[in-house]
Amino acid sequence: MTRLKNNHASIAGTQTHFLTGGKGDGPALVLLHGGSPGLSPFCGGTHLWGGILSELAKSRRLIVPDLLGSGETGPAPEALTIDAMAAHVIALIEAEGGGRVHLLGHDLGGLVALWIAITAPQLLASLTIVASNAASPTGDGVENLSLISPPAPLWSADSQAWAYDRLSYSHHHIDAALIEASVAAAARDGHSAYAKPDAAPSDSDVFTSIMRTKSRFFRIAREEGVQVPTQIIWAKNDPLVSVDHGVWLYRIIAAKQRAAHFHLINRSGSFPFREQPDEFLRMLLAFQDGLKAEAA
Amino acid sequence: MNLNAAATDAASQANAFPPKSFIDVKGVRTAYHDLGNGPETIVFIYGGNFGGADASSSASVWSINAVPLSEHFRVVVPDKLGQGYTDVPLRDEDYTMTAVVAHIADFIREMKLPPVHIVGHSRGGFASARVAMQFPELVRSLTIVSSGTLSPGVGTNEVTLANPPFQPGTRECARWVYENYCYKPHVVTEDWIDVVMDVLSQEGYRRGVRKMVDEKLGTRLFLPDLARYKRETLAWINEGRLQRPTQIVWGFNDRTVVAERGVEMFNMVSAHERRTSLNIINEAGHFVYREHPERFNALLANFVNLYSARG
Repeated sequence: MTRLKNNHASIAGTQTHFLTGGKGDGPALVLLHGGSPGLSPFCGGTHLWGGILSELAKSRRLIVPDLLGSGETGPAPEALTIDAMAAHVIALIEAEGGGRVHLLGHDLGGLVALWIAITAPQLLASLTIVASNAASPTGDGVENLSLISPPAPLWSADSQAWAYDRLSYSHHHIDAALIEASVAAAARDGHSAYAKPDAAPSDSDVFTSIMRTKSRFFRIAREEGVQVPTQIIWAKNDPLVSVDHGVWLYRIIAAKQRAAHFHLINRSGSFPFREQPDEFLRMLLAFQDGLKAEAA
Repeated sequence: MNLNAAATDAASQANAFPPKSFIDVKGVRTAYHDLGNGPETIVFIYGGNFGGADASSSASVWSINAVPLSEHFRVVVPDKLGQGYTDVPLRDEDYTMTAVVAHIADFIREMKLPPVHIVGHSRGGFASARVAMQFPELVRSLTIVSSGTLSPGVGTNEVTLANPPFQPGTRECARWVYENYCYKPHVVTEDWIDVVMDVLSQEGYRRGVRKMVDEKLGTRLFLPDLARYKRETLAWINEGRLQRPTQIVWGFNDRTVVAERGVEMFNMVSAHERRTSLNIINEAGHFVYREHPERFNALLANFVNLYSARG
């Protein structure tokens, strides 16, 4: 098993933790994890990726950060917004990427990745958005009750295990390593800065920023569109976001971007890279390999 | 970027496609192309059926996929019963999809192939899925590409391609048909149409046209039989008889069978087979594997690798 290196460095003014490693002569692959600090009942971070990192490291150079307010990375210097999260990742890509990178984002990380593709397309070889309620159209959605009754206290081991269980098709991928790392993340400065269990979600900067960023994305999609090859990887049984939402996100991007793929994975909830890693890997890598062959 | 790059590459790849061989399959002289080596074998099954007078598919439609994939896999591309350079059915009652499916299964047996990764397009997607359910011992995985025939919803092939504005059997007519199938007309290369025209001129193929059109076997036998056969095949899928890894690949801009049909097919198959995926590719019409060969080939190669034999 390939071991990735733990790095700690100041990136865009925040003490940042990120993993590096893997081998491959193509562009590096940058992975942005899911979870919204203070809003999600689980604590995001590099630990969410699980076993897929060592598989990817066999053929790709990897850069895998803890995003602002997650894992071992500190809080944002000012308000936690999609722009701040994107600027933080852009600074990391500029420091570590060594040229254009393949950028992948899951959940909230999907919207951050999309916003980077819009604001800094020159940095990217491709964009991959995975199971992202944050990036897809909201519409007048019916209330989603998947996570309304978390066990107290929030972000404890029991509460986070409950959240992963609620969001999965099958609970079998939820292992001790995931829960231990999630609980450790809950005790760190990043999470602590945003953990306000009694505040309404609408008081959260990141919540407001998600809605605002989507709206800016839809306008840009109508005009110049997304300028980098994009694939959408969605899960059939995601409790947070329907297949229809994924197809609509794809429609919006495919209207202007020639190289756009939509992939749907069966028997998976919100974590297809953990729940069906083999299918996830072969789709993700085929898109990059196909683009490379096409350019040759 | 050179917008004609795909078409130029297509022409050079087509030149590397090996000449056809022949094998006797239960009395039917069957043409096929056999490329590459490897423990895993891919079999491509193209679309259409015997007796098409406007246009005609044959094995070389897969040339730009078979040649690069043969660097890693054995790739076998037969001409279906009554299409390309394979004989028409021996008996009138075999002008059916049932006989086409039996011929594909018999071909795989006669060739003594290990369980194959079968890839079927359009009507060939229907035949391939049927082979995977009826003769599962012959199939390791299934790839269905843009198949209105297998999809439960309304296909719009007849709407998009109704009454070409050219004389049936002419080069202009064939080109019009394929250009309307595709997202960008430039992918319809001259050598693609050359083969179509050569097939249309074969005496054997013309006999099939006479049987289907002049003797009305198309409307009297083929279509009603296909309707019954399709009902049964969809029921089989809903009963969970499709028990092989299945990937569904669709062109997002296919006007003859829109992408929603692909989503419906995914829902139907995935209810019973965990290893089901859907893959939609933008700026592609009906012939997604000719419009974006590199990305299609990468998807197929990774699928075959994932579901290869583990001994």
